[in-house]
Amino acid sequence: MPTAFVALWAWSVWAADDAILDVLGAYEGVPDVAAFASMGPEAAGRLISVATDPAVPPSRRGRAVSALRLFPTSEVQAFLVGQFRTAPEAVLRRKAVGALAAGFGDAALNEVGEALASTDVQMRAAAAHALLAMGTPAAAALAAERRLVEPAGHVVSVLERVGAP
Amino acid sequence: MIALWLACGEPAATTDGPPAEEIVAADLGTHDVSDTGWYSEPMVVSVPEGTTSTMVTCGDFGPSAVGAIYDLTTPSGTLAYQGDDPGAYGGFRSDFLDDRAVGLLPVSPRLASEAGDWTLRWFVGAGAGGSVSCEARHRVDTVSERPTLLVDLVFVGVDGLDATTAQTDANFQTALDTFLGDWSAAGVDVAVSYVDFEGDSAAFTVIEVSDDDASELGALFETASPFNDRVVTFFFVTDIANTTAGGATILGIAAGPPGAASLSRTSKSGVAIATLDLATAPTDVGRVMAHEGGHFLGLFHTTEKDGSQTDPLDDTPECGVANDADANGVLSSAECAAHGSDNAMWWTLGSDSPAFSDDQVWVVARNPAVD
Repeated sequence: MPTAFVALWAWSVWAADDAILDVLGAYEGVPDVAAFASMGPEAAGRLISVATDPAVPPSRRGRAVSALRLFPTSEVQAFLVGQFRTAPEAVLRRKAVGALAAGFGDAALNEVGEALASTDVQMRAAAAHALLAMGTPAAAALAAERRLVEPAGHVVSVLERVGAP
Repeated sequence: MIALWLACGEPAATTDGPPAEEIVAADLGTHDVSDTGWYSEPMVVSVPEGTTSTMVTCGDFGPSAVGAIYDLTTPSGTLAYQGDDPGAYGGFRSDFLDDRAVGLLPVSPRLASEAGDWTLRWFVGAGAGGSVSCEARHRVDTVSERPTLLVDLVFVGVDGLDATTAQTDANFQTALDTFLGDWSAAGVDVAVSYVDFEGDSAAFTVIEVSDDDASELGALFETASPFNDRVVTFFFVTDIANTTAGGATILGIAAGPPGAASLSRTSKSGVAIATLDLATAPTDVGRVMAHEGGHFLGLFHTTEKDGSQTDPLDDTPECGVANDADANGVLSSAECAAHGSDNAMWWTLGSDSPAFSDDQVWVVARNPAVD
């Protein structure tokens, strides 16, 4: 491969990742799918690269995980399930369950149910909010089941709102 | 109550904080609000002679509704702002806020808080209920050559970080030094006090907000109870999650802009900072503190991410949508390199050395929370 071509390819990868990190570095806002449109079909792959790069600060890795909800493919679903089960940082596990629920709906209820049985109250709270955002009948049924055994009052109050008009 | 304040990591003199008598409160009455939307009757706000700034607020109308100043008329009878065409006037801006609307004069040198009878109307959207209480707070003093902001640092269930450990935690101190340094470079000194959160830390250490419900954040801010109402409360939480976006992290969020400066215990009485990056990128956390503090004190993004709005200041660069080279609807830091992306109030963590402009400092120096 010609050296100049390799250099151009490397620059384009760097520029794309720089652009992703710029979007993921917003103080308050979170990116929508349009923000990644110019990256074309490689956007999900780039987000996965950012999400698994230990040199990237946790907030932006977590945002990359959350942004993957915008690309609901089977590959992304497998990655998010893997993050939910094995990511070393609690924040990435929380973001993965939220992204699964937002991107895959009822197809993510197994993972959301697992999250609601976690010993980590923040994971349970994230899962409860994920159900609230889903709002499907299946989500409401799971919330109704879990609120009977949920020990944390602030999580129960979220579960009680799932499916409410 | 006396507190020991620390400035730039060094012990400072014991102080009672900014003089409370410099704040003149005025009751603007209680008003019934329609749940289908409400335009208030014109309210007269009498700004005293010698006033540096005025904060007006109406609430609480609940987290399901948003409100803002609809129009504003100066003592000489000039219409200074009209919400149906906010860009047409300049010098003022009032964004929609949930639960409690807040207005601040000045947010630009172009429209100072001159003495006399101002007239304003509020608009509160559908979803509100009951009645609201409205009030004004005037700061009556002279602006210091070197303004000082007092900040309470409140720790809300963050692992390994509380009011004692934070004072020697190297990463937290790096973040704090960045915050203090950014503001000091702008000519504003910040003095801090360390405080432990006395509420339910498990419930508040991860703040969940959605596009239409920020009640959890508001409930956290309602716990802000510094010994002096002019102290600004910064809450350090583990994470702030936007549940509308799959739980995506928000790095920091300030009440407002502007926040309810000089008024404690309201849903617009604080700033929240996520601490996820303290261990690996503490400087970023400090930058977030500086940026969110700016919002609370009346500063807006120089240009919004999509170019839809700019701040009301004349000396901050604007980055128009024509700079969106890749047409993705996002004005990136690279696209706006010469148009404001090095400003501390740019919308993303773009620059390694963000700065505040002279007009931004002018606004902050006059905020009711600043002395």
